[in-house]
Amino acid sequence: MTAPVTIPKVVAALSRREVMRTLATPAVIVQAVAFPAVLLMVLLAVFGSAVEDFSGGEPYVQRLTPALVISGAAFGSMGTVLGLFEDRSSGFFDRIRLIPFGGDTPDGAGLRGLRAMMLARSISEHARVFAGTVVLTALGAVFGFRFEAGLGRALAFFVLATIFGASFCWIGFALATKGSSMEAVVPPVSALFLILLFLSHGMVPIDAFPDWVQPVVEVAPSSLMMLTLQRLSGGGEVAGPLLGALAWTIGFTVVFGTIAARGLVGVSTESRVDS
Amino acid sequence: MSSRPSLVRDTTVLGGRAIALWTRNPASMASALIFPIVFFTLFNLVARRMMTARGFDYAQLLPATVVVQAMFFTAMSAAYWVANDRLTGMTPRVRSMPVHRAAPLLARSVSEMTRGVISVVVLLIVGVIAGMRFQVGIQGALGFVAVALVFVAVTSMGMGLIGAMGSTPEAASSLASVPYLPLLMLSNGFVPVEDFPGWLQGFARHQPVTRTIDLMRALIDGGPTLEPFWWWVGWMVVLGVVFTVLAARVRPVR
Amino acid sequence: MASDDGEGLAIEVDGLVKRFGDVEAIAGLSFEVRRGEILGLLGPNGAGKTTTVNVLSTLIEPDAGTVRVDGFDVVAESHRVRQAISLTGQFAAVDAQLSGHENLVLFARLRGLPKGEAAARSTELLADFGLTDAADRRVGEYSGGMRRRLDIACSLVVEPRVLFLDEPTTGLDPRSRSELWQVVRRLRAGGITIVLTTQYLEEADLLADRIVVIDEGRSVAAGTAAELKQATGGTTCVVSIVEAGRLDEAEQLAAPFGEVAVDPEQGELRVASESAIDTLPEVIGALRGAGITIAEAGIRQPTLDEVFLALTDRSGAAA
Repeated sequence: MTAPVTIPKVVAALSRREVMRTLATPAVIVQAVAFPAVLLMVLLAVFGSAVEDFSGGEPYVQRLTPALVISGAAFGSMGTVLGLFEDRSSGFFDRIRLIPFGGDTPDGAGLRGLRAMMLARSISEHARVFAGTVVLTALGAVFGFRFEAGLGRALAFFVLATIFGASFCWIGFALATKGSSMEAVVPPVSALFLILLFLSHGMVPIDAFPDWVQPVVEVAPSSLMMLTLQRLSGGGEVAGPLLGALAWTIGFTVVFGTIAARGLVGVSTESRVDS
Repeated sequence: MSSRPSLVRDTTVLGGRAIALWTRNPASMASALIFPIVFFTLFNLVARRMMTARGFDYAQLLPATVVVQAMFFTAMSAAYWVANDRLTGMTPRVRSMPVHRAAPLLARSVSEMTRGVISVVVLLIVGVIAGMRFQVGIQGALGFVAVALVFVAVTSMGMGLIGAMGSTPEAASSLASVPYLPLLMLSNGFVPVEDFPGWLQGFARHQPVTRTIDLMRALIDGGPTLEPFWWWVGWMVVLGVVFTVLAARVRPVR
Repeated sequence: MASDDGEGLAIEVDGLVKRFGDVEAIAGLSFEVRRGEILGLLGPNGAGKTTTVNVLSTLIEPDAGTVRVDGFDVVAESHRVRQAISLTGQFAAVDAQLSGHENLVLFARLRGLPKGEAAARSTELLADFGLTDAADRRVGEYSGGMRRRLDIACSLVVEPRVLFLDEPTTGLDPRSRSELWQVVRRLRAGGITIVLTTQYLEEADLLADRIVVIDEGRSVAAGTAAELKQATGGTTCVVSIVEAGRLDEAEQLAAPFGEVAVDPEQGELRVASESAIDTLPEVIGALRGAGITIAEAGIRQPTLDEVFLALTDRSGAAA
């Protein structure tokens, strides 16, 4: 007689699976780590002099490292979308819905299984973003990045980077369940993330932007997240940007999480063409 | 009836095929057009003020960079197609026929040049709208287009070779994007060569993208073109020869 | 050496060796193909069939040995070989985004036909292969069988002297497969030499005049299907008895004469031995001596399946 299936057990098992799959997907490692790393070095070489002249001496790497931590999280979330599309077409989501959790209430749509799946995904993404943050911060440190605002803020840096970065995964999840195919969905969103990287505090000081763009930079999600991390590592008022970044994080999670949840139920019931 | 390999005939036929294939899939043009325009806009937004403060007119300087970037994107599809042809069996099939060995790669270049023409024209229009002016009039513009086309032809050959190394078309595309970023960014495309750390300056100054951009800017601004021309031609010839030699040695099957 | 018309060998392979890194994909292969015959290259996956075809079609060069196709050496005279052959690979190498007609014209022009002739030849082939109605539709919309037929048609824009068909019916439904077999037979009737690789024993049995069985890069047997079946050295006699309950007893009685297998459902005894024709009377005698009534008795040739398994069984052939 086997032990009953409980949600924590399922979540644990699925999380393990997600983490292992992420590790086994080269695309994720490239986009989450290699690409931002290369970008860091290239941008430092190309714009280092220009930005430091313009902003009066603050080392460019202090600005860039948080930027690439957030970008790595965002781009990396696109890399995991492939796995989700595979799950969708292979019928894995169906299997999840059918996991027998027992209990007295009927669970037609298999929601418990799907929620477990989503939770597992979130856990694995937090792990990925944390790992990516550590790596990119270390790389930044090689080029001169320093935590200048004390241990408390430094720890907050890592915690918040992970939370902010992991919220992007819901966008990918929503796309994977609602989108028609990977080719249709990933390039436009990747392009969007790239635009968010540019229009942020991450690449240049805000006064380098034309006046009409500056308001956009002030409220864009990645921009606020990067600013928060910059203040946590470099000092300065952090409450304002932090609130903004958290608002976005919660917004992403709630909005895209709901879309993803609905989408999950939808794909399980869509017809699949027999090949 | 002669079925002996003929470079001209085989390139024409295969080139026609390559062009037919991309015109039936016009979405592929989108990435070659949209990305550069988006980048152009973004770099303008991000860097214009900074560079103007240092005395550089980005409106005159960026278009060459953006066109080179667009040519890179155009050429990268050669990698995808070479890998795809191998996967579907078209490459071995053509290789087992009396077709000139260099024809497939040259046909790729021809096809990318046709896409390149469209890109260049569109981007020049966008550049003019954003404030760029051809100081040398129509000859400058035509010269500019010609330089861009030769650049895309040579780059396509290189990308095609990279494509031959990829196991799937997607892998080939990813592989092809590896040289693009360093070559584009570590050039004089976005900042003057002097901005680079000392040890990079040599590379940045002499690499083929910088030389191409030098020539293109001279054609826009009306500066001296002779010296940039020779540097650029030198690179194109060397790369062209190297790629052609390598292409002949590519194995058609795994 | 020029090619002989109607005389001589279409293909000569002598001591072919091909290595990829440390792996010897082909380890000394020799065989011949006569003009106008269909040769079947049979072997499990990874045996080296496709590599062999790639060498024969000049796509890769051998590391050792000589290979002559249509009388020309595949290395030294590869351009002449290419003029004499056509290759249809494992995957239908046609452009899905072009129409059937456009694909045919493409290949015809690559073979040197001027535009007008290419178009005419395409129309001809489309008719021959029953694709006229679909001529202007994109190949992406064709069924698997249609795509394969177009694929072969593309190989015939200029009639080759030697045609290579690499696993032509893999992945096709049974009806398309038998349609394709008819096509192959028609081609052979036209005098083309065909080298066919296949994993389907039934296909080799039906189509090939001679078969070469390849395993681990070597030829383990060559001959007609009938010769191969005989040469496996085993034939089986089959005896079915009336008294189903005495099957075990019958098994004991037959045991001294060969390897006995019992099929309780059919009430059958199968005895494999060196020479079934000699064993059969002995088995019959033994059973009748014990009073068992025999319903049917006969000799059965091994199927090509059994031949194949016996030949490629790495632990040695079953007696």
